Amino acid sequence: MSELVLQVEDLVKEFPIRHMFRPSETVVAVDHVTFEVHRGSAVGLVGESGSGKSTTARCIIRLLDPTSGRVLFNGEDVAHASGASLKQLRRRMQIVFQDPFSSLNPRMRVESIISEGIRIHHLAATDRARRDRVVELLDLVGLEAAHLRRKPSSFSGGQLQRIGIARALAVDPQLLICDEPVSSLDVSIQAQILNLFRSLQTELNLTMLFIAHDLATVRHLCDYIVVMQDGKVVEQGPREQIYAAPSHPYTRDLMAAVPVPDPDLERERRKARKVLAAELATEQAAATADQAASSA
Amino acid sequence: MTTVVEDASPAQQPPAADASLLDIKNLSISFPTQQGIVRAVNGVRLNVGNREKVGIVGESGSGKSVTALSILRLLPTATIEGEIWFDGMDILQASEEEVRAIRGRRIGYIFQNPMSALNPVQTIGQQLTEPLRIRGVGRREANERGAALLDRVGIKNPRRRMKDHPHQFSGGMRQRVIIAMALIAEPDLVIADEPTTALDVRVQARVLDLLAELAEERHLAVLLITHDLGILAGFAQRVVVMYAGRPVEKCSIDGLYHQSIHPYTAGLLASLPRLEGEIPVTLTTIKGQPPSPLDLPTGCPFHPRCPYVLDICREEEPLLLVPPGGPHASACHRAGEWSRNPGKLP
Repeated sequence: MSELVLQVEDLVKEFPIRHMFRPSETVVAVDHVTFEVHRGSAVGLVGESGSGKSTTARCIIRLLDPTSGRVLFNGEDVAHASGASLKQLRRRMQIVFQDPFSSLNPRMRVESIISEGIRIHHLAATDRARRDRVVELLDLVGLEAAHLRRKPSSFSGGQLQRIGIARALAVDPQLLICDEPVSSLDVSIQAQILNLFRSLQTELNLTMLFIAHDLATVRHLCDYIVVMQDGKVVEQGPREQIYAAPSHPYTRDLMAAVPVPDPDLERERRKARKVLAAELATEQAAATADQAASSA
Repeated sequence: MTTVVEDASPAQQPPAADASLLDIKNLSISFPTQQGIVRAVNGVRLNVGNREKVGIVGESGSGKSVTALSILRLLPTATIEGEIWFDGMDILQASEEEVRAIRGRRIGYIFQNPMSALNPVQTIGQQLTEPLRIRGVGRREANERGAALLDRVGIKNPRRRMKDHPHQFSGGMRQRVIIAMALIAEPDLVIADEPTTALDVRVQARVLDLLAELAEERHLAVLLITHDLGILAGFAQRVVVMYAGRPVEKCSIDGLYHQSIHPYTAGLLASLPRLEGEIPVTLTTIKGQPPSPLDLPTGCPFHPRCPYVLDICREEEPLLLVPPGGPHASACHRAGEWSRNPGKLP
């Protein structure tokens, strides 16, 4: 078994909702979540909006403090890190955000955006070395040195996402967390970025936690899948198992809902969905009838 | 004889499936901007028959949404050329009065974002029945019909929910309300502009399946605008692929997925990660990015990204034509060549 990079153990995150005239409530956004990430692997965290996948990521990099449970990064509890050790931790875990238009400072030049982390963590001895590193990173993500002096506004979405990836890689992270990194991009650009992730995986032996709702994208990149619903992990396992034989009804429902770019297949799938929906409706009707009978 | 008389009643008869309902001819749309004139749409031809489901697919900036908006003349600042015929009337030449009689009444419109397409300070009932109330339908009858339609689109307790405000509905439920709003005046054509992009995948499937069912049951024609080739596959019968404001391929839905003769379409299909089959190490990609409408390339707008580019592609814009022996229309200089083995560009 390869080395463990990340262990999420029984993680819980609750948010209080304060009401003006009623007692407060709590929402359990992450509900006893447990999974592991091994070195060099890519784990896909899948679920719909509100499933708690982004909150889980935020707890991992400690943008949020968990209510209970532990996050171990290289065996070290993230919650206990402070000062210098927290700074080290943040360097070792980097994140690529969903919307490249709002996650890069519009007033900074590309060079400053990418080199900021290098400067803060003193990873380059001289200005010259720092610039060389930035050029190297730009090359790695498929951009050019000519882009150094430009600002985010002069780039397209796909290029901005490449800058975001270069920025994350600048501090030599062990774990790259990607929160829906291609969902805001055009179809023809998505494949370019997916290929970039794939080549980075092999070139840098990068460990990735890939958060997405698109099951086809996740299948392409990730070798292990964690499916979340309403804050809970409903199913997890190796890619082959999850896609070939999903065991949880929610996962099956998700798979059935993915639109497939093939008319024959998609027409079949729609018929299947109709049957499934009808079954669910009769089940529900039966359940309500039972309830009515028992309450009567 | 009585049966014949019944059959002859025009109100009972659904319109013939092949008659043309919407006919767009040579549509061009441009906008004045500070950087100059932007030609958003250039020479679109499109035909939607009665009860037909047609898709327009393209990426951002391809001109698909602008085309849709122009059908209802919702682009006050644009210069629009060409003709848009709807059931015998040229919408671009019609008076504001006449267009208003069509908007919402004969052509329903489903907007992309269910969060911003509803008025937050009006009840769902008020908004839903507005198209009926404007046309003089009484409050009671309008409410009856509104509740019945909400029930049909899958909203529970429709009578009570009519009194709720939009924020009391989830995204998927709001989109169902918006579909109901588009359908309440019993239109002949519904334009759905990315109707499910803002929704989760399971909700998306349900909303689209519902729309397909309703179209079937109410003899509606649907024009679906989307960037998602997956959504289109299960929904439309015919498709127009748009790139840089131009239609580049026009075909049946099966033709698109199995017999494409345009490098852009073929490239898009090849670049999609799949749910089944072998996982490729690298996805086939289309290099570069879509051009800015302010700075379109000469010749074929796709030529800078095209792996099959010839000299003629840089100079001359290809016309959307069916090549000799080809399966359907494609705007590519080499379409004839691709037609020998459609769907399998080298």
